[in-house]
Amino acid sequence: VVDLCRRAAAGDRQAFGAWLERTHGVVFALAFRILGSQADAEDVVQDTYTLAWRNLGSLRDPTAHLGWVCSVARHVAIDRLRSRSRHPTQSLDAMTTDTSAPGGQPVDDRPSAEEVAITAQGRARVVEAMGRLKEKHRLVLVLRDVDGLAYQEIADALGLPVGTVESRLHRARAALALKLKTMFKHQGEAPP
Amino acid sequence: MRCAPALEMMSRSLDGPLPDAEQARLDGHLRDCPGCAETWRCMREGWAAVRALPPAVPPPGLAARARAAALQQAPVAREGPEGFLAGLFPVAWRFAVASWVPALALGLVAALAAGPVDSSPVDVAVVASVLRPDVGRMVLGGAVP
Repeated sequence: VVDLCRRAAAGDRQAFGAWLERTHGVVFALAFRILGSQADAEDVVQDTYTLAWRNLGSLRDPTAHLGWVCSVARHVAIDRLRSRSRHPTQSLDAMTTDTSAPGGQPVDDRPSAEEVAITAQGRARVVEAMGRLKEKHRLVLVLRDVDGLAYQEIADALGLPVGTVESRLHRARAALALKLKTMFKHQGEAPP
Repeated sequence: MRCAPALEMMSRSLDGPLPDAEQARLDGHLRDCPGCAETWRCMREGWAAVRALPPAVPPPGLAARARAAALQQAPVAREGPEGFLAGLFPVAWRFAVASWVPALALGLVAALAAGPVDSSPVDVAVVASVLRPDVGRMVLGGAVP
């Protein structure tokens, strides 16, 4: 991928296309989690790669290509967020009702006995508990545990050191568990 | 072991098996701490519920659309002297050079155009002749004739 990026920076259009194909999933996930809208996230991907194509020549270290393009995407997404003046988080309500992926793709790679046993009510409670997390923790949790990004990809996407991503993820999972425990204690029920 | 490191180990164990020694410490803590045992159950079940949420997957065709939109644009200068200079100087230095070199050049040109500076001694009598006597005394002191 680094070599594709290097060739794209030298003006190789085919390499640019292949580099885009390999990296746009992370850019899309990042934009979707910032904006909470598939249409907006798609626009951000297009604008990001248009800017990337125009400015790849300014990228000095091609090994940092993912962090660079995600940095461009973050700026584009935040500009869009400001222009529409809406809250910068994904609609968590949508997560409880929409079981298909944002791209209209069915979730096909994660079925497990535990997941099958999760009721709609249990899922709604988990989403409610996630909504009470700090945003910086929730974003890392969603990118890792929902979108399945690797630690390094999350670090690149958010412009953070990998160690910070790890510690935020551990805190997010612990906080989510403690919130769920409190919720179940108050309601006198077992976890979902 | 205290509860805080146990919480971190619980989270790490969701990503993959812990080393045996750590797993043994965690198991021991969970046996002795009912609060953490309950938290661990909530964490595992909450984690499974979170993973069942729909991931952000780019729709088919998005990459092709993005590529087509991008390649309609002309890339900004990738080669030539700019690219060469970019490799030699950090951005801050290039900015400083771009700002100060023209200013220094203009100053030099202005100084050359003004000609040599007259460094001959001040003729006190000439200066005093164009000043009122009281002002001349104040400026030139006892030198005023």
